[in-house]
Amino acid sequence: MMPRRNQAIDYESCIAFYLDALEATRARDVEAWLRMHPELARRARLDAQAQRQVNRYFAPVLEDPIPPRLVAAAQPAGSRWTGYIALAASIVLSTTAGWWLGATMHTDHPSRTRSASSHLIAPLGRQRSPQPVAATVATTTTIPHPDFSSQGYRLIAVKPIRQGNQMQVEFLYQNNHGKQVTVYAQPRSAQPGKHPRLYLHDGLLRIRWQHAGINYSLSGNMSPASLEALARHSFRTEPDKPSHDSKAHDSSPKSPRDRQHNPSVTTAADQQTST
Amino acid sequence: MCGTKELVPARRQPKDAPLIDGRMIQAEIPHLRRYALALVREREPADDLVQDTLERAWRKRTLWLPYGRLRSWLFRILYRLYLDRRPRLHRTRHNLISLDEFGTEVSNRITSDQTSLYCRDVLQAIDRLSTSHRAILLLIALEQPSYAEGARILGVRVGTFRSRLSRARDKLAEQLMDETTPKLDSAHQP
Repeated sequence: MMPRRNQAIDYESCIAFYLDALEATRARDVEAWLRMHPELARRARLDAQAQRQVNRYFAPVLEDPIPPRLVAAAQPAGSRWTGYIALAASIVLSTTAGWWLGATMHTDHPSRTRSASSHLIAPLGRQRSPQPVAATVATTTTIPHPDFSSQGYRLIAVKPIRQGNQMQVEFLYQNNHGKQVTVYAQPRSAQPGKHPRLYLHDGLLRIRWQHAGINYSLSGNMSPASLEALARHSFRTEPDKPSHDSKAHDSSPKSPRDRQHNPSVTTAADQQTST
Repeated sequence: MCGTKELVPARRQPKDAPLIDGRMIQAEIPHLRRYALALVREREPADDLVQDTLERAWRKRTLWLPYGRLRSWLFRILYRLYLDRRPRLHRTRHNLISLDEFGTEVSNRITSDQTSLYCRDVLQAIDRLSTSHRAILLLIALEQPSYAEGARILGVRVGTFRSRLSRARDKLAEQLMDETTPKLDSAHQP
């Protein structure tokens, strides 16, 4: 049966017929039409054969393993960045863990055996690992350490710290309740003032004073008044009293208004301005 | 003949449309590699072309219309990139497939020597065609797209696609040195 012209038997249908890509009923119609047009049938058969050869030649490419660079290019950029961040985070975490483990293993003090989480929440001044007193006291005998025994704090560790060309000594104290305070002593440095003063530097409250040509800086996780009292009793031979009354220490120096009522409380910015 | 409705509209993706997933693009890599290798005929430049295609597709992913085939959109990007770098990728006759290379690559899937030689002749004839004719013949042979989809890939009207395909087949027949092959002008074109 000859198909009607409006049945849309185009050349692609003829090629599809030779490629066996037509349904049975459609293939019968096309076959009948090709029988009526032998020249076109021959041409369509040749084109279909060429098309099949090209398809077969490149077909194994579909089964080839995909190079990793193409897989990476197909991934979203966000995923790649997430991978990079995860890699960086793992490196940082492993480095930090190694640092903490090394710090714990190189000290035999019972306070060092606490969990790492308690170290992480400790102030920055206490995150360094102090050396035992017996091992380092000989090297720091030239710098006298404050005496907080009247306040219940005893010296448990001394550690020399080098900051550029200047030498600094860290004294770590602890009371019977396990509370710790740190004193940094630095000879021949800037003059913070002879009397104990409160300084707020980088969000960390410190009390600084000078004695015998050495600058001391006291810090600890306690109220400013307690730090002030600790500093006042540090040297029993200290004749001078602090230059401010203790009532001003009940409130922490958080605002300029506080500093107006409490002139002795200064910040690092104030110190830079005065100098 | 062809109205403007047959042109590919340059519309942006709707806001509520699903975004392209990396797995969706990754699933199309084998087909992209096959077409790129057919165009370039060398592995490394073909993979470079595919890699550039994938990177550009991800950058322009908001331009993909979700109701179209992702493969067609990727093929269009690949073809555009191929045209942009055509002078660099242009092959001379020295880059044509040698008989030895061809014989080793297809020995496991071409059964008879006669068929293998015919396949080599076909590929060499396609290599001698112009870029547009080679691209359309390879696209039809590898992907068998519809007229509309093929036109979308090559960025032409549907009528242009059909006429270009017809001319490309004529040129291929001439290259195959088959003087008895009839022209497609007399073919039934409804």
